[in-house]
Amino acid sequence: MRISSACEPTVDKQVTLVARVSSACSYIPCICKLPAATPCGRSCHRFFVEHLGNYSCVFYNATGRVVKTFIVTGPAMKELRSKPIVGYAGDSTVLTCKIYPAPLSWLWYKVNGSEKEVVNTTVQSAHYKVMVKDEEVLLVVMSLTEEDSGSYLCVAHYPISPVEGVVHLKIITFMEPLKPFLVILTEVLLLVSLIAVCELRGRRSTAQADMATSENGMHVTEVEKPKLEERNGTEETATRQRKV
Amino acid sequence: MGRAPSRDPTAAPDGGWGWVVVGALFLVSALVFGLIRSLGIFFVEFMQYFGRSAQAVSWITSIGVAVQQLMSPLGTALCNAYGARPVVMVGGLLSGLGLILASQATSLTHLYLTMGFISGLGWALVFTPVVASVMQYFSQKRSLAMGLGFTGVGISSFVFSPLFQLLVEVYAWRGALLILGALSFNIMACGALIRPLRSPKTKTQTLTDKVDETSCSSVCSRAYTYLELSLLFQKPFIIYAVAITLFNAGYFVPHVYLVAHSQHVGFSEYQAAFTMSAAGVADLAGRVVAGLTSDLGRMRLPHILSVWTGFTSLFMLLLSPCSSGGSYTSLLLVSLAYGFCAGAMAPLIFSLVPEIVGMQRMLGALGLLQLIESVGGLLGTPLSGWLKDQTGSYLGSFLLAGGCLLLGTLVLAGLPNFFSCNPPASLKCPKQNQSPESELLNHTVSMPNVSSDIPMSGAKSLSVPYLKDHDVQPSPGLGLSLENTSV
Repeated sequence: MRISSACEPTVDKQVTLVARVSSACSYIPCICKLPAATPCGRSCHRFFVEHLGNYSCVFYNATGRVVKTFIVTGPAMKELRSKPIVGYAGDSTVLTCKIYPAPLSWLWYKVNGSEKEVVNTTVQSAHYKVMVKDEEVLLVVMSLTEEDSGSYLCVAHYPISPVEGVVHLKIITFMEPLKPFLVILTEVLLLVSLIAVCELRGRRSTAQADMATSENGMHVTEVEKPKLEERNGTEETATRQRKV
Repeated sequence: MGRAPSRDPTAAPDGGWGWVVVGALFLVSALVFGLIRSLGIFFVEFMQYFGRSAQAVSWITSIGVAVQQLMSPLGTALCNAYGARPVVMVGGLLSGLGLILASQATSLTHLYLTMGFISGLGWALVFTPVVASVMQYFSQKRSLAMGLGFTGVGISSFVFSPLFQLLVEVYAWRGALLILGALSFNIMACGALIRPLRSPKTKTQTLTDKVDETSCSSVCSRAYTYLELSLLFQKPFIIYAVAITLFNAGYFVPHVYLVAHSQHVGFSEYQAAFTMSAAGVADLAGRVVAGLTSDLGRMRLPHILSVWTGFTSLFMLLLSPCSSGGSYTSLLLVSLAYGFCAGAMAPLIFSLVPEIVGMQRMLGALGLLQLIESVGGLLGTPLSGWLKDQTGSYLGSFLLAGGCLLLGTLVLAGLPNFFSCNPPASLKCPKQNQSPESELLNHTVSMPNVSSDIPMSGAKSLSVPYLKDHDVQPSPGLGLSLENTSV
């Protein structure tokens, strides 16, 4: 006798347990530690649970008995970021929580030490705004200050039990990214000046070399002298045009 | 080739400082296209912060790439007028500035304007001039130089993805954009490295001899020459432009949607990201291999390009069916193959341009091509996105992209003398004659028609067409000196 069942996270206080049995068996009564298990069809039972947890059922027929343990779970928060969300002082930021299926209601808490404080949007409407989109809730925190950093709790309420998710917020000032920015800027300026200096030096030395060779009487056209500064430094000594 | 005294100073050096310019191309392609490719990491942040849809946010890169391509003729025209170096440096400044301003954005429109328009304009002034400079520095090893230079895109998207992720985690998107702006300023250093090979003023000199500088018609004719608008009336160029547009329509689709598609089919985020990285590595290899093999000269360049684009379209079409089965290895394999072929076609698309339009018009041709192919890019990716929204899966998008590439390959076959084994004569400038002798005679008379760029120095496979295009460089005070085609 084989029993198999599918377990899906439950949101209601009612769990439908569908037990698939091997074909050799007929209607199988179920003795469970669960109150009021009612049959809902062939090999299907419906019973009520008060909390999430493990429940076991005994299935028996004439030939044998099987004990099966079912773990009744609730939904879990989706796409929860373990790293803190970074916000800038004076700016605003958005904290999100996502869960499937859509809960009855959402609630946000700010964690202060060991206490939870409800985020009250009516009292502090200039600071907080909550937007609910079915399976997603957004907490918009505006005019960020240093005190806004910390952990926020988003709670999704279901008939069976609430589900919590934690979001961390970290506040920094604009000075933080400015430091690497200035470092890179200085590096760029240094590079550009270095390249310019190297090239000017190269031009000057080859110009001097050309001046020296022209005094020796080689045919050099007058046009070539202004053109020298535009030529590749390594090619200068070799690429003088001769009168054909 | 070497330091023979009679060698003309403006022939392509094919080495020496040219490799430094290839390095500059490497960095520039990294900082322009590598950056654009890795901007996807910011999109999630933008979507959350501004509360807008993925499609609205994806317009940022669309606008950026579109502006880069639309303004390319402007970049090349300015390059013709003032030389590559100042144009690239100004472009680097603009692209960095756009990102820095974007870090202060308070709405998505601000991002469109700053990251889209300003940075896009900067990228336009940077990319095509640097590509053209590399092509001027090389003749025989052109494809290899292009391939090596373009590896910057692949390597940087490998490096930038985790880097951007880290920057966003530490500094949020505002700080990250600020730092990216500073990074983009490095383009200015790259621009400083591009030593001009020839006098940038010679194009102007040929025109001002006959025309008054301040009149409106002279400005228009100068613009006409700098922009190489006469190319628009020549059939091989138009064919190539249409082919490139079709390529562009499909080329970027997998880059944009591969990660999303992998997650959609059911793989984890890390698996999806790894697929993208693997495709990127294959892309790198493809570029270098294509550059090496095409320089060998065994096959004609258009044929090689058709082969690579054909394979790219094939693997693009296979992407969706192979991955829907749920097998991660098949998705990975097809992505690798697609990446390799897509990388292989990239440098060849540029190296083929001088063969079609000739070296002296290459700069303007590049700009015009970028402009025309932008239509493909503007239509292709949003259309694929719309298909995905309509059908719910990425199959339609990949099919469309593969189909576009296939169509482009077929159009490429319409190039003149495509099916012959000898390279054809390249495009003539207007008013040039067929025979070399009469050409020389005409050149002494009609100076404004001669644009005095780099002469055709021949790669083995390219030396045949250019024998008819002896360019004469008017050097005042020297009389006519005939440039040799260097071998």
